[in-house]
Amino acid sequence: MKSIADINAIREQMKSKVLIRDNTKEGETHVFVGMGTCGVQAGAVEVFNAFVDEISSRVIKNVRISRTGCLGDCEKEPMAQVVTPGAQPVTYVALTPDKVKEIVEKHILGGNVVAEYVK
Amino acid sequence: MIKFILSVLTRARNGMELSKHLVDLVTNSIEALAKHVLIMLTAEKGGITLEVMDDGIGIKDEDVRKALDGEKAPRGKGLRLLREETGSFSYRSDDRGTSVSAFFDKTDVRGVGDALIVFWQELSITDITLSTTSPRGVYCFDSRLIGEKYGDLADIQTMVKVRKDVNYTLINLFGGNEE
Amino acid sequence: MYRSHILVCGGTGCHSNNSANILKAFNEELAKNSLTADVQTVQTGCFGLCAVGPVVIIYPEGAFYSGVKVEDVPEIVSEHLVKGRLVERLLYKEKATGKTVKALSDTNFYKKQTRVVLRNCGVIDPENIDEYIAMDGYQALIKVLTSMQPQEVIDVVLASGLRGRGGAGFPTGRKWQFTKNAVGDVKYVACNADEGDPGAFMDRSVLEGDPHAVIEAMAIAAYAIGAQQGYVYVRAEYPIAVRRLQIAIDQAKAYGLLGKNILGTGFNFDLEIRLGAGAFVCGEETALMTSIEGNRGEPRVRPPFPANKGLFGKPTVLNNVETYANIAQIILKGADWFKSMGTEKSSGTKVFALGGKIVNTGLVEIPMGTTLREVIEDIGGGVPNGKKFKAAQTGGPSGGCIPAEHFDIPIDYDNLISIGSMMGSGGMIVMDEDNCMVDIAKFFLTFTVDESCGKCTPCRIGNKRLLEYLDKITSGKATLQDLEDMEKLCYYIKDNSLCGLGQTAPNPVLSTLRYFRDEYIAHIVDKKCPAGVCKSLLQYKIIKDSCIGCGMCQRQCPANAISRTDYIAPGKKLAAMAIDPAKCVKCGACMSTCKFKAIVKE
Repeated sequence: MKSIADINAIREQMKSKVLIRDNTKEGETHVFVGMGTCGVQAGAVEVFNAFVDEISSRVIKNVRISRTGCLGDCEKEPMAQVVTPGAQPVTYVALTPDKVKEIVEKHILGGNVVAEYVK
Repeated sequence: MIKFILSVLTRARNGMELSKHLVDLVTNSIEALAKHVLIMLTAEKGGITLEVMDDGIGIKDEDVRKALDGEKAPRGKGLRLLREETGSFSYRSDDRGTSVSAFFDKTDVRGVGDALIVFWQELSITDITLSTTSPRGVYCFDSRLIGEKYGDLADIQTMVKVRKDVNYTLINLFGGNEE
Repeated sequence: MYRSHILVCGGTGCHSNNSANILKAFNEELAKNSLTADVQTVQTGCFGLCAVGPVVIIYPEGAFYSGVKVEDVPEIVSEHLVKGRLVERLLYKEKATGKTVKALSDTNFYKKQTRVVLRNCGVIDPENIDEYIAMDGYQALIKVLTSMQPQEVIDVVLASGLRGRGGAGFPTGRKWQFTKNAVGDVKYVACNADEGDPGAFMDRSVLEGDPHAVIEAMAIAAYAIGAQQGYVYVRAEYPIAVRRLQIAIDQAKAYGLLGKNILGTGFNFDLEIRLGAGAFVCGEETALMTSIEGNRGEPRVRPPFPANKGLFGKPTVLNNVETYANIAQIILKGADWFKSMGTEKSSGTKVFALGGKIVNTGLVEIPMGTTLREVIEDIGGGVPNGKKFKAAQTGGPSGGCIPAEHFDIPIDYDNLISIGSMMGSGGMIVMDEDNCMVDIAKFFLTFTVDESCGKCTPCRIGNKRLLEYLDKITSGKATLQDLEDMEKLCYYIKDNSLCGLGQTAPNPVLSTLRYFRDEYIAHIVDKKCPAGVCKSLLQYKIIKDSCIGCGMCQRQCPANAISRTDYIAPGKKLAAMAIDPAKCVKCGACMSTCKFKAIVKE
């Protein structure tokens, strides 16, 4: 049985997942996720989808997520490169879905590179 | 020419799932400059046969041999992993295209939707068709119809919708969770 | 391993379009060409583009063929599979430019619509109550239960100007007021989801796509009038709608949004589904209620109206699915918001099921007051194949046709009635120059005669006689006196039938008589069907200047209806043949025999 507060909580939680809102960022941010065999083995597909989930749930516009080949060290997979407009590309290594959450929040939305996950 | 490669290597217990091998095989097709890729999933003999067929430039027999034998293959170790985990796979290739087929003895289709959207940006140059057959029914998804069925290709929300639809449908059709 | 895969769509849309035979044809053709070991045929799932079916995709080329016919199969096999050449004419042409796919929302089909009733359909997962809640679902119920008195709720609905969307257009607020005022402790709320009009599927789409909207609205109605139990009467021919509605009811119950002490406010309301059994008359309110009670679906005399004596003899509010689908938003956004759409006397939007001779078939939701021209040309994409628009039928078997002269009429309840038609539940069938209006009237009468419950004589016998007149007219055996008598009969049936079925059954006849009387006259006096539809009035004729006089037709004619004339056409050696229409049985044998295209059907 739910209370009125419960219903409102569900609404807030689900709202951004279902609705689409406008975003004022200009220029496109590009996220490349390494999708070589070693990357896939290490979990690159999960990382890719984590980026999709985070960006769609926060309703961020002008972000493109694509796959790319091997990005270098096979031991440090899964890897992803984040290119925000006007800034140098940043390569993150040994990613997990949790780290992706942080990167989307701090780097893509907040503009601050998450140093501990960088290559 | 048809090649059939047998191996006596034991299957890895916890290896990549079907969806991950799918990513590998489709990646191969795209790197072979395929304009069209067909993914077929057929439930049979208590498992699933995955077949990926493309219209790329093909792969030479000797390159397949190299990929399977060497430690560091010219194009990566995807095929070697495929053989390791499924026991064997069969393939056929010429300049019209390539098809690779492998049998997975589980009916775990989790992650196929996730695997499919990995190729989202490639969809403007490569069409992907997914056709599945299982006792519970048949299903078809063609990337050319995403705009009409799901929404704007440029919208990430569309990726989420497609992934959800494919995952949900496949799990209903194949069962999904059996280990 | 196969070197090619042929995928044939097996979805219901393509299936009814022959995909099974296409699959069979491929297998046969492949065997003929010894390709069975190399090419695999697969019957796959639905592609979802049913309008361009049957669909066939061939790999590795990925060729997407649409509109494939069994006759095309040999060409596809020989050209594509044997020679490796794509069959260009069958390739699916995307409606957008090249590969870039246009966003759905950019098409005219969606831009001109105002989706209020259909706002969640296709947007949320109808089997997930959380997604409904995300779209402000159940917020209206919360507002009503925590901050509004029952009378206030009715005042808002009244002020909004919402009128019944089932067809009659009775002010919803007034209906709720009457039921609230009625004496009694036990009252009911009911939903008419019978949707019997042929070609209508608006209610079905709401139930399948947004079932919670109906549940929430019925709870609000129950609070407003003082009811604690509700019933949704759904036609059994809608199994998916029934399933989705049941899932939604179960989910609402699990969340405590249905049942006892809803959201802790002390309000009780429970909801059940009752299935119809295939009777059009059960869409009529009193027949529906008696059907729920377990009796044969038959209407009864009113008064007493359901507001005072309805289900199980208790005061009952019965509203249509679409009417309910508006309620939650009216509560949340206010009566003024609703009135800001539509016309003065018909506020809000209406969902239409567009069908017939129109490019874009399907559901469209438009603000009241949109002109027929905008619906047909802008949203509907116009009449296909370069044909001319003739009329649009609204209101199904109870409605009438709107001819081209009223193309610019703003669509609302009163305007449509003033020109002899009616809004109805929302079915809109478009007709072009190739439709015979008498035949259309006959089609609808055939339906209503079949569906008449038989209780009252004017409908049971009157409509049958009406159908007989129409049969006489379409087979060229009627007289002008018949026409006069038929018209009188129509008015008699309208005035004396017990329920809406009988009272509106003559509408298609009266409406077509009003605007297309000349067609009726042509059938009666000239014994001709101007549109070329009514078979008995078609005549086979030999064009004497094309006839070379070979006499083959005469030899084929089983009725000895062809004889030689004296006329020799210029440039020909033998005298032309002629058909005696009195003897002709219209078998068409002569036409199929003639190698000189000298015989026509008109």
